[in-house]
Amino acid sequence: MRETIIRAENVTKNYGGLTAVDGVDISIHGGDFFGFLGPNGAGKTTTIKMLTGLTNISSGQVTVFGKQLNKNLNYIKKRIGITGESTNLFPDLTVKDNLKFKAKMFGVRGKEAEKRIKNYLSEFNLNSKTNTKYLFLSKGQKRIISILSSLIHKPDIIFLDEPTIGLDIKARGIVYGFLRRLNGKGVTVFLTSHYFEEIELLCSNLAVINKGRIIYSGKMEEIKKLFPSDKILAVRFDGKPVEFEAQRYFENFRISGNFLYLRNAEVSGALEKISKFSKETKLKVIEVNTEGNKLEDLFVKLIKKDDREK
Amino acid sequence: MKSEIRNILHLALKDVRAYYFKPATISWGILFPLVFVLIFSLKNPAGFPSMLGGLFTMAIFFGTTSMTATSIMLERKTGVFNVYYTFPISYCGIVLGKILAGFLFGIFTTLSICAITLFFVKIRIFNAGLLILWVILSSFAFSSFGLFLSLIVKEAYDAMTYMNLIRLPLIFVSGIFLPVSSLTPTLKIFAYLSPMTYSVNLAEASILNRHFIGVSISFIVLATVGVLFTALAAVRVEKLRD
Repeated sequence: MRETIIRAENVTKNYGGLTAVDGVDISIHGGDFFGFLGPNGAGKTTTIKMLTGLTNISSGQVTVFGKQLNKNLNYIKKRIGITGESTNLFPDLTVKDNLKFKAKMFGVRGKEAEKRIKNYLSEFNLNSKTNTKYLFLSKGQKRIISILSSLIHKPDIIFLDEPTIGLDIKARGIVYGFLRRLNGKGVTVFLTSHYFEEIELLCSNLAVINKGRIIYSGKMEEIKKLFPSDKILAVRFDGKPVEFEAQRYFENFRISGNFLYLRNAEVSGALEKISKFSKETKLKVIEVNTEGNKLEDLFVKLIKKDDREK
Repeated sequence: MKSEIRNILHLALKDVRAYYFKPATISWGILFPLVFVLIFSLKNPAGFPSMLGGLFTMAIFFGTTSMTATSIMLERKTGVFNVYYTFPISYCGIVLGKILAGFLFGIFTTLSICAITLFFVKIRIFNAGLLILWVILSSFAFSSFGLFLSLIVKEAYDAMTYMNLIRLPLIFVSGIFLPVSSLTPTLKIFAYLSPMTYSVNLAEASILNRHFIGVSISFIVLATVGVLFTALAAVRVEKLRD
């Protein structure tokens, strides 16, 4: 049985009359790669802030590494790393000075700090940026340095709030690989992201928050059992289909980029409609595939179900 | 405790690296008081020595408050100020780190301006020990005062503007250009409420051997101002976390 390193019990956060997070329970075990999903404004960032001591808890209790958070804040801060939505580095300092400063604040000094900085920068091929001011880095480089800076003191758990926002696919791939290796070394990862494939690819456990309440918490594979698997027909065109045109042919569909996703469509009937649609819209069909439920679809179903129930 | 002190020092040194050479720090913290010193030395060379206490106080006041305002303004604007909450350091520690950076800047700029001025003016300082104590105490008081003011403005962009709304009127009621004794009774109330008045008094006591308030009272007031605004700034830093 793995050790529970974070336990939040009935945690609530009120801002004046507004309840941003309402009675949240979360358990995170050592070595977890924990995904945290929710629509915008659902309470993800507030929850992270409460779990890391960055904001006061209105009611409830959080224990981290078996210690009560509000009474052992400095001890806990030394063992966690945080990369938030906003920047956590100083624009006017160089990459090295930024990382050195953060290392020092966590008691990592001298040659050990230098070694860690060098190693981390090499891992991302960013050695040439050592003496560049943070201000002059690209958006992607800033995100990577920001993640590295939260790891400089080798925390036992790292909280990443939308860490790959603004990164291109290649950079995201590098970050994924890095996070996997980190998790492989025993570091617990708590990740929020707008990229569903990122959560699906990396996380072993998942919690979904909606309107301040946790509406699902469990293993990644178990969420798929909550809803019977839909048959989804994914059609890729050579251009982006237009919604109102698609409405004339299809009922249960979704458009994403050049893809048209048809849910629970009878394949034979659907192909006929797709052909007509293609002719009328002059969009060429590139490929047609059948798919099972994707995390994104399950997420949408969960949120819709929760909204209906309210 | 040891690591808290170490972190206060790291934070202050980081501010030194990041903000000492920022245009806002240099223009308001060094050039502005220096220009005043030059103007008065050229306009009235004979009466200039009698103004030294006030002008040097202005150098400390603008140096320390500009430094703290610049750092807080830039850090709150970019959101990086929030990173301090992730460090194992208390709110008071964050405040003391910030104050220390302003304090060191104030001491450095004031002593430089003092040295340059006194080299040209050729006057003998009455009490060098008192002068050092005055610089230290005033830098602490004004640095904490400046930090608190920068923390209470809602829009970080406006920190320097709001700072000037308070700083500029204070120059005129604190005995820098006009002796406090010559002010109207209403302005005298403001003069005695201004911490700068007590700093000017100490400066004149140490340089010219003249004072209009007791030296020990000035010490007590400046120390109280320093401690009070440090505490208020710590409370404000805690509030800003949410």
